Parts: sequence; C-alpha cells; structure tokens
Amino acid sequence: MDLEILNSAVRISTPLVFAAMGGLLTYQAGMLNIALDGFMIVAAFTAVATAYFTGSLELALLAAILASMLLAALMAMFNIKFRAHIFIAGTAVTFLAYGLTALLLKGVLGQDGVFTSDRIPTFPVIHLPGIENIPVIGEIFSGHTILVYVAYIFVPIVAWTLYQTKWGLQLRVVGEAPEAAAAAGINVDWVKFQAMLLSGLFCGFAGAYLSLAYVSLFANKMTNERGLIALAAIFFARGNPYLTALVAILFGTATALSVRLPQVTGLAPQLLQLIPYVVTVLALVLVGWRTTRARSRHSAWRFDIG
Amino acid sequence: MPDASVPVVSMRNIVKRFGNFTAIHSASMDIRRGEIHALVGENGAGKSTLMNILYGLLPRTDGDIELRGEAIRFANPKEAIALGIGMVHQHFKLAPSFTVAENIILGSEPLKSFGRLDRIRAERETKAISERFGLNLDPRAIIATLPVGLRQRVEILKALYREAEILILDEPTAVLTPQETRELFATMRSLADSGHSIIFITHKLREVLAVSDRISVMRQGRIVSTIDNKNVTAQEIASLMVGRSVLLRVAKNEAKPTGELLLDVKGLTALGERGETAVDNLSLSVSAGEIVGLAGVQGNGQDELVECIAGLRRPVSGQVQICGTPLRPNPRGNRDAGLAYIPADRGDLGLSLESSIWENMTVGHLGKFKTGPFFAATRAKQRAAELIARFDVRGATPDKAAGSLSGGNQQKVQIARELTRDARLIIAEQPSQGVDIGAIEAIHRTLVEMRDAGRAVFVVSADLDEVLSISDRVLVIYRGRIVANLKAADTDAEEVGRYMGGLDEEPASADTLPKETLDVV
Repeated sequence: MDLEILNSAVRISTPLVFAAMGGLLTYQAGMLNIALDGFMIVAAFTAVATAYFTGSLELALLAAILASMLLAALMAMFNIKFRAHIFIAGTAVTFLAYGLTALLLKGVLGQDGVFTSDRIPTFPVIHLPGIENIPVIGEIFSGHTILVYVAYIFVPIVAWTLYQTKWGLQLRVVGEAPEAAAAAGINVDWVKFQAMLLSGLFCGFAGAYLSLAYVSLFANKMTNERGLIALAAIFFARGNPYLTALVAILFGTATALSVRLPQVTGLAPQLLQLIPYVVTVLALVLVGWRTTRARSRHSAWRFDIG
Repeated sequence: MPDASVPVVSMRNIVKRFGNFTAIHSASMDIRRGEIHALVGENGAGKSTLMNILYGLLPRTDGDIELRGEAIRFANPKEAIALGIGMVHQHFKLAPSFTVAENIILGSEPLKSFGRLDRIRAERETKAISERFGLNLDPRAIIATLPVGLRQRVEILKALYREAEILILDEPTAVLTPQETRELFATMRSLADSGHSIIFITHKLREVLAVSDRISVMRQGRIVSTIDNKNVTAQEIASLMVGRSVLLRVAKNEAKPTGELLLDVKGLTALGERGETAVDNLSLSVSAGEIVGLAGVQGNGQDELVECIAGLRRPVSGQVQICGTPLRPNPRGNRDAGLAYIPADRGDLGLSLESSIWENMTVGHLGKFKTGPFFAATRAKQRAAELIARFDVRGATPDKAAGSLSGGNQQKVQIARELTRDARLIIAEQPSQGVDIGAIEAIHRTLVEMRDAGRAVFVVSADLDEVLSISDRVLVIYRGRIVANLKAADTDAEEVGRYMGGLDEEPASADTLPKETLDVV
C-alpha cells in the first residue's frame, strides 16, 4: 500500500472530523443536527469570498466561522425558541444555505456553479520539524495545513470538555434527561443553544478548510453530504468523541481509496466513487442491527416511528 | 429554636387559573417546622398544582405565600431550591446512564480550576450525606441499575444536598414495595425529627394515617379541611375527599364461573426491556363469568405479562390461549381470538388523543362500516353518539378530540370501544388510574355487568383496594411469578400485601401453593 493514500486520507478526513465534532455536541445535547452541510457550505462560501476580497486567510477563517455560527443561531431559534421539529428546521436551514450561496456566487462573484481565482490565498503546508524525517509517520502526518492539525487536536479537547467539566456533564444530562436537568435548575434551552452555536463553530472550520485548504475554489453544494456522513460516524460511535473521529477517518480513508483505486486498477471511477457511501451504509446497517439486537427480539412492539 | 406553632410555609388564598379553567379556587395551608403534613385528595383535586406553585414550577394567579415570614414569589424551581424547598416528583427526574453522585451534584457541582468537575469531592460528599441521613447508596452506582426504592433515595438526597428544609414528596409510595414504603416512612420520620418539614402528597388513606402529623384534604381546588391525625378514620377522610359518603366496595353478586377458560397462560417466560426475566414460568387462567384481579407492586412483571397476552411482546417460552385459540405474538390475531384490551397507557396505546372521539370509537370496528371500497363515516358517527350516551361519557360529542376529555371520560371512551367488540375476554389495566371516584364506580359496575353476561374479566391494578373490591379471585404477582391465588371474599389487604412484598416467597407453582389458596386450574 503506498503511503500517498494514507496521507490523503488524513486530508480528506479533516472536514469529516470537524463536522463530526460539531454534530457530536448537538447529538450529546439531544439534537439530531442534520444542518451540518448547510453550516459548512455557508462557511465555505464566506471563506472564499472573504479571502478573494481581502487576501487575508485569518479574516477568511474568522468570517467563515461567524457566518456558520450565525446560521446555527438561526437553526437554534427555529428549533429551540419556536419549537420547530429539528428535522424540518434542519432541512429548511440546509436548503436556505444551498440557495443563498448559489445566489451570492452569482451576485457577488459573478459566477455560475464554480468560482476560483489566482487571487484566493490558500493555507500553506506545514512541515513538522522532527516528525517530517521519521519514515512512514513523517510521510503520512507531515505536510498538511494548519487546519488539519487543528481538527485532530479538537478531538481530545471535545472529549475532555464533555467528560471532565461541569458544562460537559450538564450538556450530556440535557441530552439524556432534559427533565432531570431542568429540575436541577439547569437552563435546558440555553445549553442546547450553546451546543448548536458550537456546532456552527466546528462547521465553520470545516467549510473554510474545504474551500481554502482542501481545494482552492467554491462550488455549489461542494460539501457533498459530508455532514450526513459525519452524522453516520457519530451514530456508529454512539457519541464517543474518539471513536467518532476514528470512524470519520475510516470514511475518509474509503474516499481516499475511491480516488486512488481507478488509477491503480483501471476500474470505472464512477463505480469506485461509491466506496465511501457504501461503507457509510454498511456502518449504519451495523448500527441498526446492533440496536435491534440490544433491544432483543423478546421486547415489546414499537409503535413510534420517530 | 423557632416556635413550633409558627408556620415555616404559609399559603393564603392561592388561586390558579388555566385560561377559563380554575384549577385552584382558594387554597390556604400552613406547614409547621418538623411536621409530616399529608395532602390528600382525588385525582384532579389540585394537590400537585398547588405544590408546583409552591415549588416555582407554575406561577400563581392570586394569593400569597410566606416562607419563614417573608413573602415570596418564585419564578422557577431554582429560586425555590435556593430558599430550601425541595420536591421529589412522582416520576423521578434522574439521568439513567449517569452515576448516583453525578445526579446528586447536578446543578450545584463541586469544581476544580477551569470549570473541571471535582469527581472525588462529589463522591465523598454524596457518601457523607447519604450516611448522615441513613440512606445508604453507592455514589458510583449507575442509576439505571438501581431498583426503584433506591432511585427514590437519590431524589431525596438530591434535595437534601441542596439543603432543603421543606421537602415535597409527590405520591412517593406508588412505586414502592411495602418493605420499601416502611423504610421511606422511617426516613420521613427521622427527617421530621431533625427539623425538616415534609409535605406528603398521596391518595392512599392507610398511609396517611400511618405516617402523618396533620392532614389537609383537597377537593375541587379547595383545601376543605386540615385536621390533626388523631382519632380520624379512613372513611372520614374519604368522605371529605369526595364530599359525600363513598361506597368503598363494589356491590355485586357471587361469581358463577363456568369453568370455560377464556384466558389460559401456561409456563410463560418473557424478558423485560433491559433483558431481565420479567415473567418467570408463569401460569394462570381466567374462566368465563369471573373477575380475576392481579395484585402486585408495579414492576413485578405485570406490564410484560399483559403485553404478552395482548400480543405486544414476544415471550421466550410458554403458551397463551384466548378463548381456546393458541396465539402467536401478533396484536391483531389476539384481538380476533376474542380479546378486549383496556391499556393503562390511555394516551399512547389506548387512544389517539388528537383524533376525534368517533374515530377513536370506530377503530377496531371498521368492518361494520364498510360499503364496498368506501367507509360510512356518518353511520360511524351515529354509533359514536349512541355509545357516548350509553357509557355516559361526559362533555363529549363525536367530533371533539379525545384529548379534550378528562382522564375518567377518556377511560370511558376506551371502554366503550373495547367492550362493544365481540370479545369474550376483557383485560383492564389500571382501570381507575387518574379517574375520579364517581367514574370509578361506573367503570366497576360495567365490568361486573360484563362478568354477569358470561365474559371473563382480568383486572391488573397497582391499587390493592381496587383489586380487592372488584375481584372474585385475587392473584398476586411477585418477581414475575404468581405467588398467591386467593378468593377475594376470604382475604384482606393485610394478607395480599404480605404476598406482594414477597414475604411468603415459597409457593411458586400450583402444586406448592399454601393451603389457604385455591387450586388454579
């Protein structure tokens, strides 16, 4: 196996890890956030537009995060304040994001479908001193942009926050037993709102990475349902941060394979591009099988479909 | 030491309206330091509403509350907790996958730097407080693995951890075994002796007499009387609750079981939600022309047993026969075999609360209204109107939503639908739960009529008085087994209560039943 694939797996997994961490916080707070793609696409567009006009990567990243969090606030308002079903709110926000970015692409940047330019700065590649020279490890882990490292550092931070801090405990109780949290004097809605905003923050990173580091362009719907794949990883790992990241990397590796294999095997690329989706579906089938088995075939009929 | 006669809490002329509906008219109540004060009343009398106002869960429309002489108006429970009021709800508010210590400290967590949880201190403090009040608990135990009695301790400790001096217990004994109830009463007494005031909401009169110092009776949103627990009888309190003298026993003739087994359960074993053995090689039968009551503390396998009979749960082994037909786990097949099922869970399993009353009454009778591929809605509505009159469903018209009715009248809708089916076996689960005493009498009368018409009636109830008053034969379930089979006329609450607590655990199968019990088959 050539190390090139593993190196690109690390890169390809990065936005999945970001999105998965964002989705994880809302999952733990008891919300199925299906608007991760919406948050990311808005961030990706804002990043490209800001970078194009200002030439500053820092500003672009900041603007991407703000835009994504703004959309998250809107989502939280629909779901938490106006009590819209999270699925409806999520679908609405995602469609809004797709539509808005396509419109602004035409209106602000004057392009249809795709925008790219020499004036867009991209995140530089970092060569890790020391590690760079270690065989294998260096080839896989060195030579990525700063955002790649940020993504992976977020994983232990999220885990620590969830399991070692007061905020994390309250967030998890809000997710599992909102009535217990409310009875203990916790402001359930506020905690959920915070979780949704942080979900926006992580998706801001993911979007900026997609359009300014992974590639250097903006295209309509360029997130390619990465948000949904991230959700699949969260479900598979039952909300455990490390396992979630690991599954996200597995999905990323599957994508890396689907890019590389056509060159190696000569099989139709269209067919091989199915790999990451097939892996995701298989993982979800496994989750379903596992929960059904855990519920045991002796347990009661379930009438609810929600 | 404050004067004991000065109230800690004083509620004056509390009024609570929900829109046009007045839940509490003008309730006044004093709580003294160190007393156990029982608050009794029928379902819907306003007990919980009044306490939720005191606890800050509901705003009051009018009236004054004084706490230690100072006027208060809580916007939320947090403010009530801060001033030393704690409430243990009937449905526990605990996070099941978290530890005892985590649940207890939630909301007032001990911290290290950077907002980090101090787990060691949390566990130490949990241990200390549980020992101080004699409520032993392992701080690291996961809530989901604890029996109900211990979960209740966690709830009480949660309040004590926040230094509650006034403790509101909402129907605390509903889920406890007699043994656990005795322990709870001992705890309540020792808390009262150490200066805590306890408000004990209940409708079990025997318990009121056993543990309380004073008793306040609520009826239709008013505190009708507050009396010292001296020389009062259950009958007197019941009359105060209802406003007229109550028939606590159902008037009925001797049962004439025909011996034709309409329900026959043999060697049934079934697992509960967590994979535990909930029903353990259980056998029972109900014959045409008799009412059999199943008594037991909640959570001893009643739910799983009924689900197996209704075809809602797949048994591990054993056989269920309804009217002689052996069954597979399939709700429709069981109903076709002759089952009428009145579930305890009215709002979910029994009725669609958002649908109209006529729709709810028509489900299960659809065949009667078929005209070719079409459905005769007008005729179905007519029939619903007839049923509403026949079963005396108050405040109902066919087009109203089922959810707009009171609990008792929702129950009548279920009963009307189920009993008009051509089914010879009737299973009624908690038939009088959340139903006022007037409606209970009507429901019981209907069940007796069904028995006299040659149907078999199987009543599952956590309310021992109900089981004893309506049944001809009483079965007691304990840990998934039938531990007693008694003739209702020859037994009493004392004896059945003993079996419910599992004190006479030996008899497990028909051939080892004690001598005072009847033969099962």
